[in-house]
Amino acid sequence: MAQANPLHTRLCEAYGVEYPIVAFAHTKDVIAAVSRAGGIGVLGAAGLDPEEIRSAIHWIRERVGDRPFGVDLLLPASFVEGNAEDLEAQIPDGHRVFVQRLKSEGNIPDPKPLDKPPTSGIGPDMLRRARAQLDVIFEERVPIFASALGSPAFLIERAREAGAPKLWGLIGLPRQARREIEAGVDVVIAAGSDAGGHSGSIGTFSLVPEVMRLARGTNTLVLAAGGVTTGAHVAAALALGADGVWCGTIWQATNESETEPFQREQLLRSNSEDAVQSRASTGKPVRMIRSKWSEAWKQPSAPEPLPMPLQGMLVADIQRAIKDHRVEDWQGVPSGQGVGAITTVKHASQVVLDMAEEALGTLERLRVEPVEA
Amino acid sequence: MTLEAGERDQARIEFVAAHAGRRATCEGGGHAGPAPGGAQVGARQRYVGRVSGRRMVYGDPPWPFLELTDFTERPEGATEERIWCDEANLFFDDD
Repeated sequence: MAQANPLHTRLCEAYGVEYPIVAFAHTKDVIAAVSRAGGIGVLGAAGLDPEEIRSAIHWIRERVGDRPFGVDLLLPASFVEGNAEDLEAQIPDGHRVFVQRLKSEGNIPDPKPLDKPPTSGIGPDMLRRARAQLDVIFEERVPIFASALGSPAFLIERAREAGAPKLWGLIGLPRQARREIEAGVDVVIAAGSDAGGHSGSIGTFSLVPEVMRLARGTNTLVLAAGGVTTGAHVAAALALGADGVWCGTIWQATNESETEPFQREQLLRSNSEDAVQSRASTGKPVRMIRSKWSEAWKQPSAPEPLPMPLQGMLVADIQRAIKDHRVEDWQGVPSGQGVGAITTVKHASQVVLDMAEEALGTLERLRVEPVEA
Repeated sequence: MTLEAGERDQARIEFVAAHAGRRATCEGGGHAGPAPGGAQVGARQRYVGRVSGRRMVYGDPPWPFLELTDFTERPEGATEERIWCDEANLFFDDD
């Protein structure tokens, strides 16, 4: 009797894909390559204007046809009344002096002029911006919308009526998962603390089985996220009961990614210990590769980073200057702790195929070589 | 919340007496703030406080927020006295 393909999970069945591998990336070329290779690409588009999102959707759709892909945004889970000027006034002078000192010591030039005024990303601006971005996703009938922060539950009725998109929500705690599952969100992404960027405090191995128990008997699928870099991780996620994996760091080390070459080098030479958490960029712990920037804020003379959003406002210019002028040793690429498994730069499609092959091999090995008590 | 002209009919603020005074946690609360290069970043901050009873519903489909204040726990260094928390991310202690 033929063996069932263990990689053909409920996610594959529901979305018509070959592999239960979801790629989160900010480069549309990666998204198209992954979806064409049999996975699902999800574009991180929170930093894009609505028309930039529309343009990216068209570009991806031209290349993937009917294959599924998604767009990921940040729905603010909360916001504070007030405006940018009120908040600017709360930044202590000592912090401004410290940032100036870093700029001077690091020989960091001024940032280049902006093409357009930045949105504040604060208060009501966040709601307006998210609404405008969401409207594009609905108008363009994108197959999948993923919310990286707030719950997409309030969109369920609109999505059901429109027939698209499927709604995915990223969570870091079991009770967030319960709330989204009860609301009828299509996919919950259980993101462990080993993930790159912002995440919760519970490890993937603890979080995923707990969320699986909450989702049992419902139509909500569960993806495992945080530290997923190889096929062995995919196999482990399936062993935990997940319907697939969501991963981000690995795609930054692909040929298609717009990641700077030096950042790819960072990823290739780093291991799990190098993926440090720092509050220096936003005020919240962000997991990233260690750099002069993250280290500078750990000096005894450094002030404590301010809370969000003050820290982001304080360092916006210097961070932009570091990026504009490619000040390499002051930049740490966002990365999860699975970074140590990245050893070569490949095409994104090859990453998908290699992960799938390794996952199958791992599952096969476990099947024929049971661990003896 | 400061709304611009033409936008006021999109936000409705009401008072929900049944929620007023209840202790609650806003999980995933926090800002999506500006990041290097104009990118937006998310946070999973946590506030614990008391629901004032004010409820703000924004746009269509309705996107509901509850006002949380009297914090007993908030992110390190945070100074705000009240936040609006997405109802889907707000958990009452007595539930």
